[in-house]
Amino acid sequence: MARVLSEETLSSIKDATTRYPNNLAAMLPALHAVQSQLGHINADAELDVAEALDVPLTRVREVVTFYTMFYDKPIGKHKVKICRNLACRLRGADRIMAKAKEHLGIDFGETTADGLVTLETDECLASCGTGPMLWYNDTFVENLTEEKLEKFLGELS
Amino acid sequence: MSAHLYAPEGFDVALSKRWFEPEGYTYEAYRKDDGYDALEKVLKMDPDEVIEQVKASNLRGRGGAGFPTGLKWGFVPKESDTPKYVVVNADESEPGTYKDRYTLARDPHSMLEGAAICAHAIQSHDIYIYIRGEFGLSYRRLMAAVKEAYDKGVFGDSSMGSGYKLDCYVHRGAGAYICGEETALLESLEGKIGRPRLKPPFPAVVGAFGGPTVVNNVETMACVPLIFTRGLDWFLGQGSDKNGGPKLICVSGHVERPGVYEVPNGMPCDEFIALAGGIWKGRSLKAVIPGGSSTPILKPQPCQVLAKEGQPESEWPLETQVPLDFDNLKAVGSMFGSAGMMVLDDKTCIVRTLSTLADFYAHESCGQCSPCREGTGWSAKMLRRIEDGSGTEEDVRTLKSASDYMLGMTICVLADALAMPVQSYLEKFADEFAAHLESGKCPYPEYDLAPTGDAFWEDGQ
Ligand SMILES: Cc1cc2nc3c(=O)[nH]c(=O)nc-3n(C[C@H](O)[C@H](O)[C@H](O)COP(=O)(O)O)c2cc1C
Ligand code: SF4
Ligand code: FES
Repeated sequence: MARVLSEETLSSIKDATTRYPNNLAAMLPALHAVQSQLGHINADAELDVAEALDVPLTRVREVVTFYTMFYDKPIGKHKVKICRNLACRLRGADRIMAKAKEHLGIDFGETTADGLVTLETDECLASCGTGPMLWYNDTFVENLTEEKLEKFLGELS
Repeated sequence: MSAHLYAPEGFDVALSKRWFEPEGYTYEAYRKDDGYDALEKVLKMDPDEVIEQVKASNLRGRGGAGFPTGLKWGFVPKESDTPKYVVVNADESEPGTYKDRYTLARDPHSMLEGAAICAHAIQSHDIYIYIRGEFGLSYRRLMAAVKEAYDKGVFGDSSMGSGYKLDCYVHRGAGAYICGEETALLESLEGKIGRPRLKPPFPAVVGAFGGPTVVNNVETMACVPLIFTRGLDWFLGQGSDKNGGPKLICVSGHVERPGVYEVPNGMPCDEFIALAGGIWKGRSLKAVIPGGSSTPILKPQPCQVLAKEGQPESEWPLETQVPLDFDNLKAVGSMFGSAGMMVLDDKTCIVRTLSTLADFYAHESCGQCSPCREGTGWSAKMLRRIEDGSGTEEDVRTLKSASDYMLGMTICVLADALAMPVQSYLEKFADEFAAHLESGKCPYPEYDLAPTGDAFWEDGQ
């Protein structure tokens, strides 16, 4: 019996294994499925994934820690990542980063006290021609001005 | 929005043609434009003949290295005990690069058709598309396109009714720049952490799941059908010597009109910048990073390599007039890379620019080679000191010697991707490094906050 994974997640993991010649290769789709169920990947979920794929737990653990999109602890309801790379900086991303911290009253890497937003920086997100930009859950918000940023943050609920 | 804004006047736009149509990403729109005709044709050809045509087209890989595509396909052994694979690199994450994202979102079928042609050429029955994990719209459009292609019989038990079995799977990454490097990508496809492999063996011999594998970039694949529908003469005519076909260049930074442009290979850099509206706010050009963050910087200074024999120095062309293709950029000491051009105006701080890039590479090093792990980390630290004015001449010297220690010493070229820019910035802009040391602070202003405002390029259009 799975500890924390739902039937739906388990069946999507099973489905993923059919797309590869071996089970280990279904690791990334499995972890994406776990995270979309739980919002993060905790120790119990890691055990469940190791069992579902029949791979050693260390395999799961190292993948969870290596990739930046996976979180092993609960985070805010919304993930907001602001691009801090060159093309966005050339268009003023420094001001956007400062404004985001000021508006939310937190630093990068932190979550607002109400648990609504986790704020982070990110590297280039392939949106350099429409910078400054941010990534939010899995959507891009581009051509940011301070007003657009404040409106966006203000509307998160 | 008409296409000509993002291509030279009168240019026969092919790669970005459907980007400008409201539903250009659908199977129907693609099919109407002769889409999948090339695949039908190729499925009736001898696989070796397909590879010969791709070789003759002078198509070069658009993911970074410019390696001849036909030659790469030809390295795959004919006989193999293990299944062969086609892998499309859609992990686009080299700073400055944002072209593949649009192909995925606005014309995914062209890339799918190219990958299917590749599969037939190397006699593989399985395509994996490794797409960057953060992509949203591009991912959804790609998934929809793969489903359409199955529904219409492009993929399945009998591709285009030919009896050739062909499957296509999409694999989402999970956030790691290094997974764009082809062997790290294969590790990641196999469900492991993205650590580049030692080469040889090259992927063409031992790639995904131990089988011979071709890894090609999205744009490379999108070019392939054109060779067969438009023909070799057309394809060669869109490019320059040994650089076949049209080219997508994504430009950002201080031009009036950033965007993804489709141009002939070999277009002079200064003409390209003019096409993108020129330097913004009437300012002047300080430097160009021509092909993504890892490519050495170009400065508008006289360049002997571009001069004709016997031409007096006063008449030499400027480095920033170099024709934009793999060979010419290499000749002037830089690279075309992934064609992610970043343009810097005269108010830009070169030290801050390099410091931003060093932070990036230090953050993204996978850590398995010490020259890379240590070298990128030191470089980032020293550059931060130099930028804020607390650096010393010793720091500048160490920065140089660290870059020597990183070049050609590691399993993959991520270390070189920082070392090469470091050397070119230090050599061409020594005065700016010195100015930081002398004044004890950064002499340049904070950058203006100025998004482009062109909603055409936004995902949420
Ligand atoms: C650190 C690093 C990152 C890379 N990132 C990408 C990438 O995001 N997309 C890509 O197509 N190629 C990338 N490459 C190049 C690939 O290793 C590989 O050469 C390419 O996918 C081959 O396809 P092509 O021949 O069609 O260019 C990267 C290389 C290195 C060393
Ligand atoms: S050069 Fe850097 S990124 Fe590449 S394998 Fe070595 S440590 Fe990893
Ligand atoms: S630098 Fe910000 S998206 Fe590329």
